[in-house]
Amino acid sequence: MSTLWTRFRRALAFLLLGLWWASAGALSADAQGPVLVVSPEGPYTSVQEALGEASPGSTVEVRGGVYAGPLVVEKPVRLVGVGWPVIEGNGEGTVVKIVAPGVYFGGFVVRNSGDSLDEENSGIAVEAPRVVVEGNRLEETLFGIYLREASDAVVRGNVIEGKALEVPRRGDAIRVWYSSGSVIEGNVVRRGRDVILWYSERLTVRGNVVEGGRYGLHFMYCDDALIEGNQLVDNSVGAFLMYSRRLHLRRNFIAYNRGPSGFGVGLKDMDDALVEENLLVDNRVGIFADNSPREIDSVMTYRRNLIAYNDVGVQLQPSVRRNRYEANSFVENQEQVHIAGGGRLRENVWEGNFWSDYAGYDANGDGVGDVSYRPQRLFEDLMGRYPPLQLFRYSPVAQALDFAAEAVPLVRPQPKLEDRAPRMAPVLPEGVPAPESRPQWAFGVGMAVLAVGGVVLMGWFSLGWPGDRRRGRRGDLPRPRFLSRQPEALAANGEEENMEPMVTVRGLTKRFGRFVAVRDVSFDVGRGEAVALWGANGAGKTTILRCLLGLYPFEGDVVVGGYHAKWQGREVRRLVGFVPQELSFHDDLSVEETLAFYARLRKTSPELSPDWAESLGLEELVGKAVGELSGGMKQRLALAVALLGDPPLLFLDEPTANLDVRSRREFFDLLCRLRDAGKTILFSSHRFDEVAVLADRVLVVEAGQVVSAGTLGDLAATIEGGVVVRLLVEPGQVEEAVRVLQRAGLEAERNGTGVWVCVPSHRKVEPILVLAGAGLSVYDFVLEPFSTVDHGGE
Amino acid sequence: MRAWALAALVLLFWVAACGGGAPADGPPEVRYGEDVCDECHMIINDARFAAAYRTVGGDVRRFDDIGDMVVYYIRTGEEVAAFWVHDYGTKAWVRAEEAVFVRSPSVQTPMGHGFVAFAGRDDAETFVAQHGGEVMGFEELLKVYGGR
Repeated sequence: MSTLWTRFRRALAFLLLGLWWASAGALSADAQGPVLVVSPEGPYTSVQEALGEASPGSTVEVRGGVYAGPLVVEKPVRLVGVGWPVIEGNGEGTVVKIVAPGVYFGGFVVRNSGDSLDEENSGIAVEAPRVVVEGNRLEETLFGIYLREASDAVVRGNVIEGKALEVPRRGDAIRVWYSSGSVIEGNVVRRGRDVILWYSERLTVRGNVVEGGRYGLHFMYCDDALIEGNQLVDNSVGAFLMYSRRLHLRRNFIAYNRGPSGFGVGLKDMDDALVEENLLVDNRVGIFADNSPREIDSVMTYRRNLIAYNDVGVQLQPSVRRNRYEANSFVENQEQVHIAGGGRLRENVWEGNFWSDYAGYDANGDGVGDVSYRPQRLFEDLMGRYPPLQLFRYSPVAQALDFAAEAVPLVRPQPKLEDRAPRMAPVLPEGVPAPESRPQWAFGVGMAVLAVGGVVLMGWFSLGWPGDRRRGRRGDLPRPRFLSRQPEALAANGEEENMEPMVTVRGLTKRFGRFVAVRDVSFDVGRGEAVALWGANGAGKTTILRCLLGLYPFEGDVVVGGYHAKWQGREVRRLVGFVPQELSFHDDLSVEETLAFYARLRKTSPELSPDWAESLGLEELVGKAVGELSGGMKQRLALAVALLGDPPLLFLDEPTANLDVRSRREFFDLLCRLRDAGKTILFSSHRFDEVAVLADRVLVVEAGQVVSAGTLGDLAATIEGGVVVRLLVEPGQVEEAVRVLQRAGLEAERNGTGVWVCVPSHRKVEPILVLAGAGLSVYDFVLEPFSTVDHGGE
Repeated sequence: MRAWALAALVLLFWVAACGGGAPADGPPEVRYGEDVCDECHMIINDARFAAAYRTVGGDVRRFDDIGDMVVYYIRTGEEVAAFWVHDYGTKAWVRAEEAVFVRSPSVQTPMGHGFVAFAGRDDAETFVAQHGGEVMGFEELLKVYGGR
């Protein structure tokens, strides 16, 4: 019985082996048939000769050397390059042509095709199905890889660099033509014209890098494609998607596409596309849509995209209907949404997006603004109707018109759209690639936009500031922006100008609805001076800083470095390095990537001056992912980002709120060095120790007003009456600490995770001693003047 | 004073808004590599396929593909004073009504419509002999897209 069973198993094994051989021979592409070796020393010295001898399923192994093209592959073989053999086209025609199905072609350098556009001279032309073109380098080819009626192809991991011609005279780096089911994956394309994908269904285009061309991707008549994880940068247009259904565009990084149309993503006559979790950064237009969807029962969905720093975030033709914009983040686009031809959009849904220019409030703290986002700017409206007006886009004229519209409601335009549930914080797309090929600014970028986001811009708008949210922020006043630089603006360093204060604030009042957050505040900050805004949380310090940065409309006059914050917020922000209270980093990015990204955004060098780099201890941070950094290190990184471009002013909003004692001390040592080096510093704090270390002058802020101003000596006098000592103890010992202090006759109460004690100023150490005597550890303490403490909470 | 300033600004806008559309008789200028097709919004790069028309009101529309011009014209229904296309060989402007068109499957035009134009019928027929396709006039071309 067992013998019979053994024979049966052996027969079965042979049968399976036979079947495998048979199928391997027939399918060929993955087969390991006979190997023919081509090398300059033989046995074969010509690739074409070896191909002539090869049988279907053979492997032709080509070793390093230069071999004359053109090469025509007419049998289903594996062509494997070892040691980068070169197929040299000598500037004529197509270099490699594959006309047999199932061919594998990988590991070659394919060089120097002809340059006839009409003949479509290519590096590798494929005209048969199921071909794999993998891991090749194409150099000086007019068209790169051309799939012509070559379905189910795989084009993977190739590096394609076109001829150094003007863009219109170049060929397409990759052209997919009537080749359904193909996969284009992990290729790097530089100096091509376009990557063209026409008349092909079910394509997968994943993880490619396309830069320096005309159209990063151009889809026409391609249904059901997945476009994922690509980096489309520095092209004229990132991805132009046309006449296709059900395209899924996700997690792509699309930036710096600034040609004549300059779309990050353009959609024309598209149906049922899903555009999600992409980063669209610094394009002329982030997303452009025309006649999409074109069919009555079709919907276009855009969700969780980050659309940041584009001239126009989203541009829609007025006829566009049935577009859903959900949970996208619109960050500092010069115009968030533009309607070509002006007017108002209809039948589109805008819901739950984050708008960096939203000035509403979130009274119930649910993360959603309580009033709708309704952008309405007269100049933008006019510009939509009369495109030549774009000439005036950044001029005082535009400003004057918007001002007139504000003042005279009769000319106020209808809002372009309404988002009834605007988010108070941005949504960060995840999983977008960080390009390896461009480490100097690779940064998985947009992630970083929001990452240090706090540092440069994002934080200014939305991250943190619970106090502001609860107080409420009034809504829909458009914020004037983009005025050209004024002659009196900070430019020269003449002696006379040095006498002018760097910051002048007169009668600053900020209302949120009926609530007055800042009332009639006036002060100056001299050049090279360090000034503290000192007061309890909720006193109005953050609001003052945000007004100074031009982030809120306000009453009164604020001039920073010669620019009026009310109209020239962007110019002011260029002049100021800002460190917000709450940072939000992307953990996967390295320190260098983060710095490089912000440097690029600010159009400055990513290199800090050696002195600052050393002071900040950047060497210690280099090579680390942000996620590995301690709180103190992150704060140093935030300061480093703020110092990019060496701005003369630094604004810091409670910069050490989340640091331990040691990190705080180190950070303030750094700030002192910056002050001593001539930086003008305005910072907010509720910690007396910080103020004492850094500030030349102190403005005591209470309930939105500056109640006193003067030197530290003056300040000491104001707190003679008594201080509040805030103590941080073990979480489990808070109640006990309160009891111990009260038993010792001190006025103590619990406050969250800490303890507050009110004592005369000459007894401020006493609470610590009392607790120490009772065996309770005090980890940290803060002294505040009794008058500035907001006992009512925030 | 402010009222005067505002009036001046409005006048300035009006002048700027009207400045681009001054009527002229000849073919319009196309800045290759810069101008964008009014239909597909892509950059116009290749004069051989580029087309344009001028409306009765003096506005100019520019296209990267002859087919796009016809699609746009039919869709918008604009009143057109003159259509212009290029001779495929010489790249010279030709009035569309006087041109001879070839639709050929072997020509890849920027938007895939597959039309080229010639100033003379001989050139068009020579082209067809070499590349295949059919010869037609502008009226027939409009009918291909459902026009009158």
